[in-house]
Amino acid sequence: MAKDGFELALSFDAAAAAIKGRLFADWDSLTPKQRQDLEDAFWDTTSAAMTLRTKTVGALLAEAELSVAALSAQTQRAKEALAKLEDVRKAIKVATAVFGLAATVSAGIATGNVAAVGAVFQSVKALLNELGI
Amino acid sequence: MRRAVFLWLMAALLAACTDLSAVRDFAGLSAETGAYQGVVRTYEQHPSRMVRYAPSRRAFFEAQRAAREAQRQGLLALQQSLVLYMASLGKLAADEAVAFDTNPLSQAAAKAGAIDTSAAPAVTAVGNLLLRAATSSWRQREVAELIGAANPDVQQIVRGLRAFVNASAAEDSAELQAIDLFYRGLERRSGDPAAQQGMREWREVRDSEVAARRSSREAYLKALDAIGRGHQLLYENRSRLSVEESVRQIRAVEQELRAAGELLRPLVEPLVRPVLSF
Repeated sequence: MAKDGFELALSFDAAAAAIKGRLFADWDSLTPKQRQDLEDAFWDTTSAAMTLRTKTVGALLAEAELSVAALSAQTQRAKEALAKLEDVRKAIKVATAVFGLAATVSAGIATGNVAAVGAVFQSVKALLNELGI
Repeated sequence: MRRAVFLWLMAALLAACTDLSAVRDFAGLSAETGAYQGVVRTYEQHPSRMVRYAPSRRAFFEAQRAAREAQRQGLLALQQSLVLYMASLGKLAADEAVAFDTNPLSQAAAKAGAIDTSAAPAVTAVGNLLLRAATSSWRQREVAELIGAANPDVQQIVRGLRAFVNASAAEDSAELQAIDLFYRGLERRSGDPAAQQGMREWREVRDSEVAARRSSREAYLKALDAIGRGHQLLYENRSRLSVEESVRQIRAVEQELRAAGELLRPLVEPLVRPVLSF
């Protein structure tokens, strides 16, 4: 169970690194608000990864009928999207969605209620499909 | 003359049959090296270090640090169970007795279970074995029985420790990302070349701190690896522990453990040493 949580946390760390990469790649063309949005998304995702490491997650994810592999796969898609998307507004949307997923998973662990994880997972998947990733 | 030679041969044979010094030395070194607490402190203090790079999120990081306090106790309990077992094995291998009135690891089992539910039964089982060794007055002749009964749980405990050490290692990357975001962001926002240079120099300091922690952690992982492999060797050779080939293999693993331990010995907490006095 602990191993699952650590693996998922690694996925979120990688996504946070991709958000940071996008921030500095587009730094000069970003408005201060856009820079702050990406920075906030980095810290929110990094914080969620930290929470995941602090809590064991496997049993709770089983309750949500989601596997670590499925969550990691979508996080990996989001990470790739962050590097590929030319429109930085879409990149911010993806970054926000990734954080939303990470935060929902970690909140679910903290409260013992993972009912929301499935819906957020599907919305991230839908967003990436919509963006053609 | 013939009688003298015969007695000499018998003495040599007896010494060879009961020489478990390789087991004693490996177990003793495992107890000492397994006690390194630096990686546990690194894991617990990671949130506090991150405050530096995102001070507006102090409340969150403080909550994480407090949550990890309980994990720290569990990690130390896992270490304690490994250290106590190895120290006991060393004593028995030296034909000394161990002394416990109750399961010496019952509290450790509860704490370890808080971080890994599979760890509690393993720690409890090792504690029960040590209690049995004490109450049944085990000595050197029961070393093989102890190793045979304990091996699955010892391996479970080592795996548990490795999992958390690896998780801590993953946070090195997260910390390096945070350092990069913080200092590169400051550099980009500043138009002052001197300030930018200062940021770059501070970043080097922080990066080197992460590198130093990584180095200690890698040494501890190598130590855990050697402890796990060494005990597995003892298990596979438990019916022939004093045979030359077994001794050679055990000594080889002991050398690996010693090399890893050389980096950690100055860092082993003196507070842990009372665990070895029983």
